[in-house]
Amino acid sequence: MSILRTVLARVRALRRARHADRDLDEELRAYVDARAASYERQGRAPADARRAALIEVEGIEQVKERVRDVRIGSTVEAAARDARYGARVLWRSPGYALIVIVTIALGIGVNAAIFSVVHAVLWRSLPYPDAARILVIEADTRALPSAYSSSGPVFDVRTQSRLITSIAQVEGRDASLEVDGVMERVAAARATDELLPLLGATPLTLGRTLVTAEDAHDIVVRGVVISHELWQRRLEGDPQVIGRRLTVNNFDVQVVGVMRPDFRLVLPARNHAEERIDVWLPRDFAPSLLYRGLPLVGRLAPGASVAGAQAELTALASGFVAGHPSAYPGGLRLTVRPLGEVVTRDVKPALVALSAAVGFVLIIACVNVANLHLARTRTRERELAVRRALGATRLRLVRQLLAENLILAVLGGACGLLLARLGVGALDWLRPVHLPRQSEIAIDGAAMLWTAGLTVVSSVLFGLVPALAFTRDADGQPLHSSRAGSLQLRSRRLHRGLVLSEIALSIVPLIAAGLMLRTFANLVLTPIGFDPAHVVTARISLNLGEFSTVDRRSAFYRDAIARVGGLPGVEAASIGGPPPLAPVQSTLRFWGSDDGEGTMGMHRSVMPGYLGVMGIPLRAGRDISDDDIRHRRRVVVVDERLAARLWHGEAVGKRLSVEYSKQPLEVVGVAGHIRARDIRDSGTLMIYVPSHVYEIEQTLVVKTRAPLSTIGPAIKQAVEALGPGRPVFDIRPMDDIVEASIDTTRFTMLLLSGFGMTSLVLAGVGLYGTLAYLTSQRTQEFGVRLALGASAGSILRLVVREGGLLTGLGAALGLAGAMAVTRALQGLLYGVTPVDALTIASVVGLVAAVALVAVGWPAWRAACVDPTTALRAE
Amino acid sequence: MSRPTDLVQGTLDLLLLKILALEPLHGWAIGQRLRQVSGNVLQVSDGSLYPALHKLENEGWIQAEWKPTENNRRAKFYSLTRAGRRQLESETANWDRLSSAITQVVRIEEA
Repeated sequence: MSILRTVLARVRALRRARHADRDLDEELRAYVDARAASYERQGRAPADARRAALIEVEGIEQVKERVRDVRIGSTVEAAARDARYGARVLWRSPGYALIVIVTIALGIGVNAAIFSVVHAVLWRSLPYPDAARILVIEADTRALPSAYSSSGPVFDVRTQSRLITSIAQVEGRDASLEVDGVMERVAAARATDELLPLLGATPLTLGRTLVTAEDAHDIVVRGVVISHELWQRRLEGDPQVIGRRLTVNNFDVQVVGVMRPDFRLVLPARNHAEERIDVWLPRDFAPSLLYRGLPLVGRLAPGASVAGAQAELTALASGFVAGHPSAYPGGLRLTVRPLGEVVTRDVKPALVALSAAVGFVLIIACVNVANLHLARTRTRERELAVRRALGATRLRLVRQLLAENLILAVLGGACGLLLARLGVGALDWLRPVHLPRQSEIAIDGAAMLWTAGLTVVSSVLFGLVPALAFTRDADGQPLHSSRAGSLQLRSRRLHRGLVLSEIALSIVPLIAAGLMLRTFANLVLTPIGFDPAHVVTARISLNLGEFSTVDRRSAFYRDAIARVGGLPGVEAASIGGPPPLAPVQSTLRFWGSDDGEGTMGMHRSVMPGYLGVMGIPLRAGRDISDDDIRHRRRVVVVDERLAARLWHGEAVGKRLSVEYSKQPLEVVGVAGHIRARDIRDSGTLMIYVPSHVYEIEQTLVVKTRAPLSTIGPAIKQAVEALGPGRPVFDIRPMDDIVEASIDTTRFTMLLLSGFGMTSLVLAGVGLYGTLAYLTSQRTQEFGVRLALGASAGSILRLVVREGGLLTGLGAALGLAGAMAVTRALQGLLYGVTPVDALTIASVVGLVAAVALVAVGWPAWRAACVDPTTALRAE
Repeated sequence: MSRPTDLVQGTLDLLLLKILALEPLHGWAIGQRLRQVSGNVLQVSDGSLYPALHKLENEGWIQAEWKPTENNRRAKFYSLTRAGRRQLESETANWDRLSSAITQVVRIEEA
């Protein structure tokens, strides 16, 4: 109560501060008046009396100055004294200070780092005007969830929706850019006219946005918008750049606009669009019902709600299905969600899990420090009691203890901030796949503020409880009673409770980490159907002006395969793409003889030998042959699951229709099933068509045991030596692509493991510290027991039982908590359930092992106590 | 005449508390009363009085209030709070202890 009153008085004093000065002035003048009046009564002239009074007062301003010193000085000086004294006390016990600082730094560091990630990725609104009203429309068909819309419905949505305005499509990809004969790969996006105005890119720095009617002619691009960065980097910031000619993807184009600096394209992960786009290409809506895979972005009309737009789209979707029953045999569901929500959908569960984990780490750190602090304060009991007896108020002592804690917390927080900075730097190394807005993650003002808040809150948390607990039983009682036994039951219980909760709390992140570890292991060990080891991929971009016919392109591919295949160290080489598990995969619909609705699946465009290089087994029939390529035969190799589904395994010789070929393809072989979309996805079917049947920008695949550093340049040189217009780029091992496909899991797993281990170490240190302390307090008791004939073994058992009980209870509580919490992880897991016996057993084993060390050492020391020394202790 | 700097440290607080325990007074009157009751021995300078008063107010031992004086001027009257009364008791006890100890020391006969 007295604290509260003091605080209130201080607050009132603060509020009065403005008036105080005027008040003081008035008071002093009244004083001078009174004194002058008294002189007058003694018979002096009024003017003389007043002068004498002022002289006596020694100047009103001087007095005011001294009063101010007293007023301000008392609080500031007391705080300074507290800080100075606190620092001196801590300086004398550097071990304690160091452990506390490191513990707090760990707790705060991981929180600040994860906060800055969550803040940048989840919380900060997208860098667009009125970003909350930008929507993403997705289409779900039964065969292919979240496939996005096909262009056909887009047409209709654009014309028919009244609640969603300026609907745009955008597709991210890279492009080759040639300026003054120097070629490079740049990030590009093909966007419909509405996109840039929709995202608030207008007005541009220079020129205008894309207008498809002017900037494209059929598929030939004529005008592009370039980024501010590209303009500066390659075109020297030329103010006359509008109208300048560049070569993009071998098309001769002119620059029609320059974007504003720092414009970022933040789109859902499935768009595969870079955030920094260098070249914007025009794109038209194609009135096709078949093409799928493109996102749709729109803006909510003024006054409309998301729910209203959803209702309207649902009605439109049933209209499409009624109008095109063959195109949507499985039905069609259009869903609309705010862009911000869709962008973060894939990473949100992981980030939420990580945030929870760091929360646990911080709580454990606080509990740990509280425990240490409690023990330490206990050893200072005498000091505190003496000071209390000498007249220090309880407030004074609590303030003193809090000052010490605040010093520790601020130092710990500062170290934590450094740690967080390192952590954010390490994000690049962990390279989570498509963590949106990763470039914006930084320890910024918000993160600093968060850290400062955490620091203060945690210091109060770990400091206030022990401080209050100790100054309560004030009056002199412990002055004389620092002998063994003074450790009251209450504080022993408090210690035990804290350790128990620490162990329980550490179990939860450990279980989560264990589950992620199992998931990751499952993903790594899952047979993916092909062998990425020792396979190097390299992309080739052909100049379509130079290689204008299918035959020329096929001839080039054959030459390239021959050249690369002949390189020393190369076992086999072929061409085919896109690589399985690469981010961009395309899907298509195909039909067996007479199945009406067909089947959705993926396709690869390949040259002979692709299956061999990739280690995909041939189950029946033959691979695509060189003859097939030469004679442009329309053949196909299908995946065993497709063969089973359509023809009960007897596929060779059958005919398969695909949406881009008028004639059906003849099945010549059956290949093993591979997981090409996502390791978690085992169901997607695959067909392999010759490169002349479906032409894409191709990828060289090379089986070699030579190191990338030598074989990479060799491949590039071998192909590019064949002539100009065939740049080779993006040379990387197939292993990399596979690994990158499970990056988000790896990222979550690594961080969760890190946080889990941190919690375990903290809990272990806490358990050890507490037991060591509790045991040391009982040294005398043990001495008595030993002297009375107890064996060392029984002392050992006594201490081990105490530690074991704490660990066991804590673990049981923790497991119960983990059961409740890890259910939330469900979506992140693969091949393991949230309640996994192996994980639980390993975590319990791990905790038990740590506990054994933490309990064993103090127990051993207790057992080795020499009775005579122990009895004399204190 | 004794300047406050000659006063034993902390005794000014005690004196002010004691004076105010008798009745609420304004600054000028406090100085007068102190001189009067100490038989003109103790006098506090104006430059020390106000800082001391404000310090006591800050500690919550005294409180201030604007009131008219006997000759109808406005002045700030200080009075003791409950905390102030307790403080006065403990300081008085301290003073008694200290002063009797000093007296004892001073009175030792020289051999």
